[in-house]
Amino acid sequence: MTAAAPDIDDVEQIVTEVFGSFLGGDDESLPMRGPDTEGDSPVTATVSITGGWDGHVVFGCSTTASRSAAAVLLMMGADELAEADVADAVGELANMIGGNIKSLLPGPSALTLPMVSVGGGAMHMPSSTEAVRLDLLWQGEPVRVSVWASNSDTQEGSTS
Amino acid sequence: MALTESEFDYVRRLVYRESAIVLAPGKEYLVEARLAPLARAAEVSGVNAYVAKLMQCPDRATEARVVDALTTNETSWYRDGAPFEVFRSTVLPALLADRPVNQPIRIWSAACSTGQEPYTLSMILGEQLGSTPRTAEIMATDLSDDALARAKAGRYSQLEINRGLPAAMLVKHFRREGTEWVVGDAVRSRISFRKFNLISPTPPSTGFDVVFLRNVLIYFDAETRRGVLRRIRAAMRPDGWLFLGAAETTIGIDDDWDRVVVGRTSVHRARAPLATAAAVRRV
Amino acid sequence: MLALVVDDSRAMRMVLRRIVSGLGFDVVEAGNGQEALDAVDAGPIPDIALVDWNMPVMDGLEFVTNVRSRPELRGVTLMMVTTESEHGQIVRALAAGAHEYVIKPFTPDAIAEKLALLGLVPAGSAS
Ligand SMILES: C[S@@+](CC[C@H](N)C(=O)[O-])C[C@H]1O[C@@H](n2cnc3c(N)ncnc32)[C@H](O)[C@@H]1O
Ligand SMILES: [Mg+2]
Repeated sequence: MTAAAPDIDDVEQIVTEVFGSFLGGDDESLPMRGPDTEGDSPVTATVSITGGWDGHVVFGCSTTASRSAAAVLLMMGADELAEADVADAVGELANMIGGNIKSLLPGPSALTLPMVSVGGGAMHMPSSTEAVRLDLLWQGEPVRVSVWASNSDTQEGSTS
Repeated sequence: MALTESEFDYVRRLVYRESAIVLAPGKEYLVEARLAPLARAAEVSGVNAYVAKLMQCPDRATEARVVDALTTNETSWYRDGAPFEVFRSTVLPALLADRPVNQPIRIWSAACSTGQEPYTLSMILGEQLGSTPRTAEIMATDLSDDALARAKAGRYSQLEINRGLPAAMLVKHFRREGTEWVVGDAVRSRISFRKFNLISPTPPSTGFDVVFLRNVLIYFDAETRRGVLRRIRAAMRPDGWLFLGAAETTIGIDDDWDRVVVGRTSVHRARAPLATAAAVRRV
Repeated sequence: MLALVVDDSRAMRMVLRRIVSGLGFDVVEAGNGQEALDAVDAGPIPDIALVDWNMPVMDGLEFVTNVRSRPELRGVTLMMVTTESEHGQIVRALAAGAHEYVIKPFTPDAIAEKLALLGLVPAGSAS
């Protein structure tokens, strides 16, 4: 049995709405489909979904993109930002994108608080499969949203 | 490159002729911004080339697209609040008391854009008429094919849903489909959508009890406003109610209306016809 | 008029602070439901609380339930501002006593229009 997965165009729509609302308005500054990139994003924020559907949504981007986003949201100069500021901003982007993706999937489900990694390094999602990967370019910098579905065959009943 | 004077003038005349929308000098930037996507879609190198080509060999389809692109479809649920509140609390009860039970209340949303206005009215009607035997019908019209298609589809993005739709109405009347929210059938069923140009000499129907003509007169000159208001008056029942936008008025345009202040807004009613020609005209 | 902005993200609190202070509100911030209750208890009582759902320590739903259980806070208007956008979640928040609901992401107009619906700012305050 394959678990439900969100439509990639819906995921793109959500990312566009989030960036368009908070990170600069006009069409030219919205993220665009970029080339599929290999390797892991240096900055990632992960939220998990449990309930009607189980899995994770990972928002990843370059260090530059994470700092630009934090600077806009917090109205600070990029050089004034502490690591905690960047983590806060990227975490909230993951929260917004993840919450909206949750609504595309069978529910009801709960959403966890974001877990942010700014250290880079390979990401591991044990017993999950990447169901959607959306690679975008925002201000010329890579941004990625991936949706990981828990391997449902390993699960007994629901997580409550 | 910016539009030349003659290109801008051509677009200005075309849009005025087809829609009566006035594009005053200074709106060059607006025209360029609105036509840029059309030029891109037609794979023409820019707005200049797009307009120049249309000037050389005019065709109806392209003209219609240009006019559509220059309509401003900005709208929201419950726009400005007060008019809808007055409709619910004052106008609708008055009509229900007045009209025979078997006669539907007839409403015209005369520049309905993407549908938020008629759907808001329909949701209010649903709540108010509830299980009574009373019925209501809404005719929703607009000039823009794009706006009208979206209105008919009744599908809204989350960003549009956030704009003024009370949460209680959202959960009651909409269902989620993907990233969108879709209007329920009961709300839809009171409305018929159709294309209508406010400058046409004959209305899409007559005998309306209520007309919402909101935030469209602002795009017209005084002459057009007068004609539209006259024709709307002829399409309404003599004791009907007209709602205009917050920045719009009949005063100084068509003096055959009375402005009635209700709550935090005002509604317009046709002035009672004078009994004889000799009656003193109001000054 | 006083607005209490409750969200665990400082960035989001910033965004909301900018919007509501632009509409003429004084702003107090809290990073979770418990901090928000503490702020309410320390006074003054806010006219409106804009409340995120997913927060550590005490989430927004619990905060709303708590405020609604206290008669002396009857005058506080509660508006959820959250990414939770399942139909059932909105129903739950309204049932718990939230007056309005804005789904993230939102435009500044959306906040202004909801505040107008709630009678807290004059209509047409948007833009
Ligand atoms: C700003 S919207 C107003 C929508 C809604 N009534 C409201 O108040 O939110 C103006 C609408 O008027 C329509 N419009 C402009 N000129 C028109 C004309 N000549 N005939 C019919 N509709 C027209 C536009 O297409 C647009 O959808
Ligand atoms: Mg949160």
